Order: sequence, then C-alpha cells, then structure tokens
Amino acid sequence: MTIPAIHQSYARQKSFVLAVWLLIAACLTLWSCEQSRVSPTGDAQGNTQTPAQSDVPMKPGQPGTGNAANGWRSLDDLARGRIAVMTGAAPDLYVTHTFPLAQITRFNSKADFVLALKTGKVDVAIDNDLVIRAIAKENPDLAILADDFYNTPLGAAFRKGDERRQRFDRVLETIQADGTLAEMRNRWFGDDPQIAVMPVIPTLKTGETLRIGTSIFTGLPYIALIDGQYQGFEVELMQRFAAQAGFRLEIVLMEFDALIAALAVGKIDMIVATLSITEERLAKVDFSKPYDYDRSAALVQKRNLALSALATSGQALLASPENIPASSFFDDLRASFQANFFLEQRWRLILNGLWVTVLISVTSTVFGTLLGGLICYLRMSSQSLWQRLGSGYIFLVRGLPVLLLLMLIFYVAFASFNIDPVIVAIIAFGINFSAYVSEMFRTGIESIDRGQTEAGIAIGFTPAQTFLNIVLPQATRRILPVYRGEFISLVKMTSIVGYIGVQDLTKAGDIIRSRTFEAFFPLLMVATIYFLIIWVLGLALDDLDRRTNPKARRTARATA
Amino acid sequence: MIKVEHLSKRYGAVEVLKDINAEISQGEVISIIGPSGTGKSTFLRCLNLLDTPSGGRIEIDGQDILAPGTNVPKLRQRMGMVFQSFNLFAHLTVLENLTIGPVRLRGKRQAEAEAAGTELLKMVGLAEKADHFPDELSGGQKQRVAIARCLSMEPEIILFDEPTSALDPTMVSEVLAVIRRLARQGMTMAIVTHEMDFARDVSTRVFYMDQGVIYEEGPPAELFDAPRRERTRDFIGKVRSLGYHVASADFDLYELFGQIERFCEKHALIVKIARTVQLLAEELLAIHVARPGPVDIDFVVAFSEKRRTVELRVDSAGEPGHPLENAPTPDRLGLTIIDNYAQDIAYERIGDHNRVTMRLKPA
Ligand SMILES: Nc1ncnc2c1ncn2[C@@H]1O[C@H](COP(=O)(O)OP(=O)(O)O)[C@@H](O)[C@H]1O
Ligand SMILES: [Mg+2]
Repeated sequence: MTIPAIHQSYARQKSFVLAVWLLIAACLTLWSCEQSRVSPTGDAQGNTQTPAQSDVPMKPGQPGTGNAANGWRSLDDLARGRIAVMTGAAPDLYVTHTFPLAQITRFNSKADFVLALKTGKVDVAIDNDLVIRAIAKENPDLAILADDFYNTPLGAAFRKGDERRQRFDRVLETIQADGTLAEMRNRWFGDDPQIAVMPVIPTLKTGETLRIGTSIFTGLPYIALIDGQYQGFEVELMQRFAAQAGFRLEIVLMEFDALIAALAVGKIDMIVATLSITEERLAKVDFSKPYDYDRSAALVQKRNLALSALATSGQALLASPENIPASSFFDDLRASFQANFFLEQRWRLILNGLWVTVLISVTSTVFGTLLGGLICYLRMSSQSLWQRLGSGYIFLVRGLPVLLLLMLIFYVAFASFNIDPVIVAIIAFGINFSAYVSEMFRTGIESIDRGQTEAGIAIGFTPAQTFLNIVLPQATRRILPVYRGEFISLVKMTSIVGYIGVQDLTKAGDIIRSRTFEAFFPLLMVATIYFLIIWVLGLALDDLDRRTNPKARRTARATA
Repeated sequence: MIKVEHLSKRYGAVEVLKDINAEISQGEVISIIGPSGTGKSTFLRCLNLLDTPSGGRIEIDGQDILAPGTNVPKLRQRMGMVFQSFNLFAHLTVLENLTIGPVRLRGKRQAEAEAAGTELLKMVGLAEKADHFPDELSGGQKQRVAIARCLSMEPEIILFDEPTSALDPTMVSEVLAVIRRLARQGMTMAIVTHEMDFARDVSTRVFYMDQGVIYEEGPPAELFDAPRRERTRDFIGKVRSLGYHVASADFDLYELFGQIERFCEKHALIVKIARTVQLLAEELLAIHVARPGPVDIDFVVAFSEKRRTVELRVDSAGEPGHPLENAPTPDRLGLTIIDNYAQDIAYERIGDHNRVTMRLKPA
C-alpha cells in the first residue's frame, strides 16, 4: 500500500468510529428527549383514566415510601425516604437531625441534585425555598411538597479576625437603613428572578483586590452566570460591598465544599455563597451579620404528590398537559441545542472551556514528557543516589490520586502565592504524567538491545549521540501506543480542575446545566467535544507514529 | 601499530585478564583462539575501550590511549568492530547503516556517503539489499552488512569478535570469504574465532588465550602443528572438558548427571559412554566425600576429539595419600566397578591436593 492509501484507509477507519459514536450520542439524546416528553403525557393519561395507578411512584418498594401509594402529603411521609441535599448546606444539618432514618445523598451541584430527583434516584430534594421555587417554575414535572420547615441565617464568611468583616457589616447596615436591601429583595425574590434586571453598579478598576469565593451552583435568585455576566442577589450584594468599601471585586468560582479551605489558606478573601451560619462553621471562620434567611422547601416529582396536596398547594403555575405542545424529536433536539448552546451565549462558555482543556492537556503533556525524560535519566543513572531519587519520585507520585496532587499543589505548595490555577493544573498534571511516562521511557529504552548501543559507540559515536541517533528513534516507536493511551487519560483527567476553580470544558457543561437543569444534552455535548479533542490530538500522535516508522519511510521514498 | 603491556581487567573480585602483553603491526591478521570464558572478548573490548582496563598500557601509534584527555570516540572511529550478534541499527536501511557514521561523524556529504556505501555493498555482494531493513536479511547477510558498516568508517584496524559463531553452518563461509578478501587487501585485523582451518590459513600470527593470559603465540603453522605448551596442545587436540566442583557431602548428584549428559550430547558421544561416565562419577565422588576432613573436590571430564578418548580427573584437598587405595571396606564394590570401566588409573600429589586420573576403557 502506498502512503496516501494507508492514510486514507486509516482516515476511513477513524471516521467510522466517529460516526458510530455520533450515532450513539444521537440515540441517547433521542431517548432523553422521549423521557422528558413522556412523563407529563403519562400523567395526563393517568388523570383521565386510572387516577389511582398514576399516583404510584415509578420505583416503588424503596424503604419508607409506603405512604406514597396514596401520594405524599408532607415531609413526614419521607422520614425513611431518599433525600437529596447540597453538601454542607443548612438542609443537610436539618435533615440529618430530623430524619435520622432517611437515606441522605449529598450533591455539590444543583444541576446534579435536580437531575437525581427527575430521574427518580431520590424521592425529595430539599434546599433554599427561593432556589427550589425557581427550579419548580422551570420544571413542570416537579412540585413543592412542603416549605418553611426551618430557617437559618445566611452570612458572608471571613478569615478569623479579618477586619473586612466589620466593614461588610457597616455596608450591610447602611443599605438596610437606606432601603437598598429591601429594593434588592424585591428585585430578586419576586415571582420570577429570571426576568429581574441586574442594576449597573459602578465597579472599581483599581485599588485593592477583593477575591470573593462563591459557587455557581447556587443558581438564581442568588447567583447565576447569564450572558457571561454574574447576576443575582448575592452578586449585587458583593458588588455593592466592593463599591462602597473601595475594593476591586474579583469573583472566584469554586466547588462549594472547597470554599472554606480556600478561605483558610488565603486563596480567597471572603465567601458569599448562600452560606448558613452554623456553630460548626463559626469555629473556623467569622461570619458577618445575616443578610438573608435561608428558608426551606422540599421538591418532589409531581406524580408522587398526593392529589389533595396538589389541589391545596398554591401552585397554579403548574403546567397542565394540554399546554405542552406535541413536538418531534428534531424539534426537541433543536430546542435543547438552542437552550444549551446559543441562549445566553453559552457557546462562549463551551469555547472558553474547550480552550482551557486543550491548553492544560497539551502543555502538561509537553511539560510532563520533558520532566519524565529527566526522571528517567535519574532512574537509569549509575549513581545510586540519583536512582533512588528517581524511583522515590515515581513511587510517591503514582501512589497519589491526581485530585489530591492537584489540591496539595494548590492549597499547600502554592498556598501563599497568588498563582493562576491553570498553571497549577499544568504543573499537577505534568508531574503526574511524568511519573508514568518516565517508566514508559525506561522500558522503551531497555527494550532496545544493548548490542546496538555498543555498535554505535564502537563506530565512534559518543554515548549521547548513540542515544539520540540509535536508541531514541527506536524507543519512541515502541512506547508510542502506550504513550498515546496515557495522553488520552490525561485529557480526560483534566476534567477535575474545577476543584481549584479552573473553568474547563466539564465546568462549562456544569455551569450550563446549573442554568438549564437539563442533564442529557449538555453532558452529551461535552462528552462529544472530549471525544473530538482526543481524536484530533490523537491524529498528531499518529502522524509522529507514521513519521518514525522506517518501513513507511521507505515506501514513501519508493513512491515519491 | 598497537602495543599492549601488562593489560589487566577485573570484574569485582574476578580477574578476567591477568597480564596481557602483545603487539600488532600494520597489515597483520591476528587470530585469537582459546576456550570460552578466558577473556578473548574482553581483550578485544579493552582495545577500543568498550571495557575500561583495570591496569596496564595500550599504545596506538605510540600514543597512550589510557591517558586522560584522550579523545576516545575519535579513536574508536579508527578501529572498527564486528560483533557476534551483528548489532545492525534496526531502524535504518542497509545503506543508511553504512552512511550514518560517515555523515554524522566524518562530515561526509550524504550523496558522497551513499556512493561509497553502495560500493562497499557491492564488495560484500549485497548491493541489491541497499533498501532492505536488517530484519529482512539472513544472518550471513547481516554480518556482511556489519562488516561493510565498519569499512564505511575507513578504519585502520578491524576487531572481529566471533563473527561466525551466531550463524547457521551454511552461512559461515560467505562471511569468512569476505574476511579473507579483506586479508588479501592488506587490512589489519584481530579475529576471535573458533574456525581453526580459517584461522590457520588467513592469519599471520595466532594468539592462544587461556585463563586471562596469552598462553602461547606464534605463526599458525607452528602453533597448530607443533604447540609447545600443554594446554595449547589440549586445545588444538580439541580436548573438551566439563568441570564440576563439590563442596559438600550432600552435593547435587543429579545436577552433575544432567551436565554429563549434555556434555556428551554436545560432543556426539553415545549414550553408553554418558552412562559409564555417570556411574564412574558417582562411585569416585562417593569414595572421595567419605574421606576425613573438609570436602573440596574438583571433578573433570575431558574428551579429546582428536584421539576420541574420555579422561576423568578428581582433584581433592586433604592429607597426602591415594584416595582409592585407602578407601574404607564398604567401598570395595565401588572400586570393582571403577576397575571394570576405567584403565590407566594414576595417582599424583600436586601441591596441597591429591589427583586421581583415569581413562575410559574403549567400548
Ligand atoms: N560485564 C561483566 N561482568 C562480570 N563478569 C564478566 C563481564 N563480562 C565478562 N565477564 C566474565 O569475564 C570472563 C571472560 O569473558 P569473555 O571475555 O566474554 O570470554 P570469551 O570471549 O573468551 O569467551 C567470563 O568468565 C565472564 O563471565
Ligand atoms: Mg566471547
């Protein structure tokens, strides 16, 4: 076969794999759209024909859901049920104390939390009532079971003894006194926070930076990323505080459960993230005066709600089945695409995330390969000290989960440096990659028989020249398949960088999900993009493979 | 051209080369013969410093190459080396194997190097294989390419380390023919080989190496037809031997039996001889380990290909005295067996140990 022919057949094979993957993706999307379309229709049939049956939950037999045969009326019906809460938030504490027999699942992202409810993985989701109402409004198949069963104060958190807390309290007092706070409440806590308009608050471009950590997953009315702008009650509060206290505001997105650690080591200066003031947290941080109260609400699938509860609950806004127009699969697909990609310029998020993912993957591969070469050199050195240093490094790095390595570098090694987390990610993944490739290099080099090295040296090459001219080209070819595999896992592994506040592709998908509460389309979209990245970057390695294949070179010469 | 004085080489406690003194002049073809494990390869590898000598002096054209500051890679360019295992560069074509050195090391232009390489391939008869890769060649072809690769660097001397030992018997002659041709052209060469006929007619001088020294040297006619020293004679008479050390009364007899069997197979001795040697070994060692004092016995089977005789030798430490004659009574049966199968049984006291020798009776 000539080179172009090889190339073509290779490309054909690749496109085939791609086509199969896209087909799978399309089927899953189809299935997910069908799913979301079927449930309300199912209810409609149930209501008109066999009401009793329609009330039976889809997955009966869960512990404690016995009452559900007649639908749930209050939270007490779920004392032994499966309850979803956000990690460490006020409902978490409340549910743990009040329903010790319940099976509690903790989520870091509200999108996952809603998804779990919609797919029946949990029976009820409990959170801040405003957030729950906003979710209920956008999801006609969900309904509120109960509300206001507890209430906790929300505050901004500071490092212990930080005098900025007093400044925050003073600003809070001022805006309370002049009515601004009430105005903000009206704006955001009304019927539909979606239509609230963020006021323009003059921001400082200079001055001392104030880094406020938050979690995007709180959602409206507190915080959301819309059209590339942060909006919501808490965002307004942050901006007002920064403007009045003379700070230049920088909002840092993090995983909710990483916030307090980040505050403690000084990665951020304060937290505004619907954080309840609890005894436990007071032991670690200082809280401002409460700026709001977290009232509770419990969300369930509407079809699990007792009919009477549905009738008496004041949710007139629940869509009736007739209002849902019958739509084709392609309409749904288009709508999903529209909602998850074009609306609010979400493609910018995706594009940005894609760039960050590719940047981290490629740079840490290059860095890790160079470092791996160095480690391999140490490991194969004749000096036992270097050898032990090399194998010690490999042993340590390989024994450590990458996530921990990432966190250790961010929170411990660079705790007191103001360093771009993207660089931290590159360092962490580079270090991880180097440990694996150095061993790969060593086996590759050792697989080239010693005789060729001796022949090279006997001809008059120096050991270094022999390595470069004789050993390296052959070793490269041998390790390429394994290297490629390791590279692919690296690309996929980068999806954890959200833990240190980097907005990569996965995080972009999460942010979109936190707005649309749609699971399947964003997940599939992100998965497809990962696949494409790996495919395209893999092509570069294939090219290297072709160029280092001596026999292909000869064929190329023959046909040239 | 090359002068070696008191060259020694040790690996840890093992002294592989003891005191090598030799001189090789321009145009000479030196064959180096000797039993395996006596340091022939090590000697060659010390000459181009692939192995670093532990002591002594090596002079090339009057220049001490062990002196610090010697440009060793430059020096190696003047000395080619052909290995038993060919060691061609697997990722390069035959022609590229011949051009990489001249281009990268001697600054030749690619076209020039390719023309010279093609000439060399013609000389070794492989011009049509120029575009092949090493794994597409037979062993004999690989070795001819390896020789051509050496020649591409235009060396002043070529060191051959058993160039035909890894080859099928059918391919040995094609490689030897190339080396003969080089000899005719006046190439200076040092060749470690087991091909005695070849060594006899190609070389100007022969070194017989044994136990880390050049034990005897001379023109081929002298060394092959009238060796002066005993071990040379044994070697030339194709005496092959198997040694086994016994350090305890509980030694592994079956391991020894296995070795005897393999030794006999290797030298095409019939099974009956192998059985007889095993039987004698068992009886001789039983008598020896039963003697008082610590057990320190060397058992040797030696087979002379020329005379087709098998000789057994037992060296044992201990008080002087013929071990077989002083044997205790229960071993009478053993002695009878020994007398049955062996002849010319002799005793000798050498230094601090006793030596018993005997020959197998002809079958
Ligand atoms: N790298 C090494 N380390 C330790 N011992 C070695 C090494 N190379 C060779 N030897 C020992 O040196 C002795 C001579 O080896 P060699 O020169 O290969 O003998 P020959 O080529 O005559 O068969 C052998 O006993 C061998 O075991
Ligand atoms: Mg050897």
